[in-house]
Amino acid sequence: MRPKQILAIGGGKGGVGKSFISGNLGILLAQSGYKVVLADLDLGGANLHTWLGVNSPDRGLSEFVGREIDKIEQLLIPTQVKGLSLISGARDGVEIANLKHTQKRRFLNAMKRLNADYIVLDLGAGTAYNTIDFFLLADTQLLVVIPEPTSIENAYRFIKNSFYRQLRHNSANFGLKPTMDQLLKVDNVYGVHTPKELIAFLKQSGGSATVFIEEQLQTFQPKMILNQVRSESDIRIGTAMEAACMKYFGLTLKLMGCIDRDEEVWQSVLRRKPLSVEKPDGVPVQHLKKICKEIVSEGSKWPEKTSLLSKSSL
Amino acid sequence: MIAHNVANVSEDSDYYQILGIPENASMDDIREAYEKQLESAHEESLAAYSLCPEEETEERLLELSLAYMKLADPDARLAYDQNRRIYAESLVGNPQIQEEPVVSVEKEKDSWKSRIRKVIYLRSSNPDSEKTDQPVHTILDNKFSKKEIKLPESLPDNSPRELDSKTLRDRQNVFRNLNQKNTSSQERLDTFYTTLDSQNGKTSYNGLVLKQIREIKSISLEELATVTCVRQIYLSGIENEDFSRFTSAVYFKGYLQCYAKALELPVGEVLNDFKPLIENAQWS
Repeated sequence: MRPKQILAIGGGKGGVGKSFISGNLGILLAQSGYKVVLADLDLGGANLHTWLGVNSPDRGLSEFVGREIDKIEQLLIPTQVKGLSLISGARDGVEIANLKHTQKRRFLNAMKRLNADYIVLDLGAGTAYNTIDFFLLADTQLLVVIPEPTSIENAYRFIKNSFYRQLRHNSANFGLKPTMDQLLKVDNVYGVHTPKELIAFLKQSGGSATVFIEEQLQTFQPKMILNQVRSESDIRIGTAMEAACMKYFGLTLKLMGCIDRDEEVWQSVLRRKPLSVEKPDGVPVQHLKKICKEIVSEGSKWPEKTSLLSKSSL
Repeated sequence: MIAHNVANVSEDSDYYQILGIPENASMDDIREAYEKQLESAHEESLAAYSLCPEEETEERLLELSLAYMKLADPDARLAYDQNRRIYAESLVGNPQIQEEPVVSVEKEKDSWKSRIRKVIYLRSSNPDSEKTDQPVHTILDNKFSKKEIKLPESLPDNSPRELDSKTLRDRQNVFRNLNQKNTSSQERLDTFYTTLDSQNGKTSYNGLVLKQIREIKSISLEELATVTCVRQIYLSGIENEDFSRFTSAVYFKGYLQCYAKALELPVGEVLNDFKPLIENAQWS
């Protein structure tokens, strides 16, 4: 049975709240009655087990990659929340951050066969290929951003890098690989410098190029969660980012919601008790519940993505 | 050379539209709109951080400050409104309007350097002129002494008060006083410039020079803050060249332009002179 929806939570900058949000989002989905698998894909920086309050997971991704465990179902660790299991990175070995291409592919294929309604991928910081590829694979692509220039810049970098990665991957299927290789060069012969110019160039080229770019734009639909919000002004940054992304990149970025900055969040990780369980009526969880509802309703509109990546040479 | 670093905002720009206010907006409305627009500009600048080039933010900030200063000054606003009316009517093809458009106070004022150039030209073409080795300022003195500048008996005293507690009338008075002060101080200013020139070879604007000019004009920081809507901490930061008070060069340059305009100084030259200082600065 194929999974219903894959959610990936990235963002570029470290410490913005990816693990907090993915862990608690997983809990909220499970509490709504769905079967959820949470996967800690912060390779080399796994924290998800701490946010969930899972003590000393005894198996994880490394065992699967190293072939000590063959079936992905055997990796699943039960949590205190019914219907929620975790693929942990707690015991990840030193080589995990530099996952080989074949190893990644094996994991992805296995993951897609999991029996679950939602698979939530907690990604690491930065824009390494391993991070970007998981992001591109997802049906719902979420970025966590905080209203600070460092996070904002990293988010735009993440969006650009993942978009370009997707274009490069899929160009071969349309016979556009040489054109794309040239276009993605910094000083290319076409004089194209920004994603916006690149999109316009391909649209104008006609034929397979136009079809190609339109299909890419349909499958690249990043969404944003604005976390650690302190003021009304911060909230307006979210909508301003949607506008800026369209103006300068020509890409649609959708703001799913905002979560207030709250002392309870870091206190929950100190206590190692997830906030969705301990303080479900508190402000951060209320905000996250709203976002969760949005995600579920968006997902039902958007049919399961036949990911082009699955066919490509990934 | 006057380097033109101003945004493409001319007398034809719709300042009401730029601030997002109707034509019958009150003084309070104007100020509120300006502050809201500034906040918006800062937010948008942050939201587009790393995407939007600095020049764009600078242009927007300058555009807003020009619009504010044009509309918040009651005399300038009157002139602007009249020009707009005339322009609008001329478009409709109304031949009855023969009025000469009111020339704004700005355009009437030459920069001090071009005025000196004019004097030198006149002097050299005048066979009765003084000897060539006479310093320029005395030539100016002679020119001005024939003119009889009438200084107002006493300039109105604006005692320091917080921006918000000023009444509408008070604020209008500040603008009117500023214009008077700018006009009446020209002679003292010219003396100051030529003194600087003779000391340093070439007048270069820096924080201290700006402060001295402001003091010659008897303009207090409070008055300047009222007129430009830039907080005193930033104005004094410019005078003290304390760059750590500003978040970035963009904001420093924006406020500097407001400062220069309010004191009727050549904005391009001021910016140019500050350029090396800005480049070496440590920002907060």
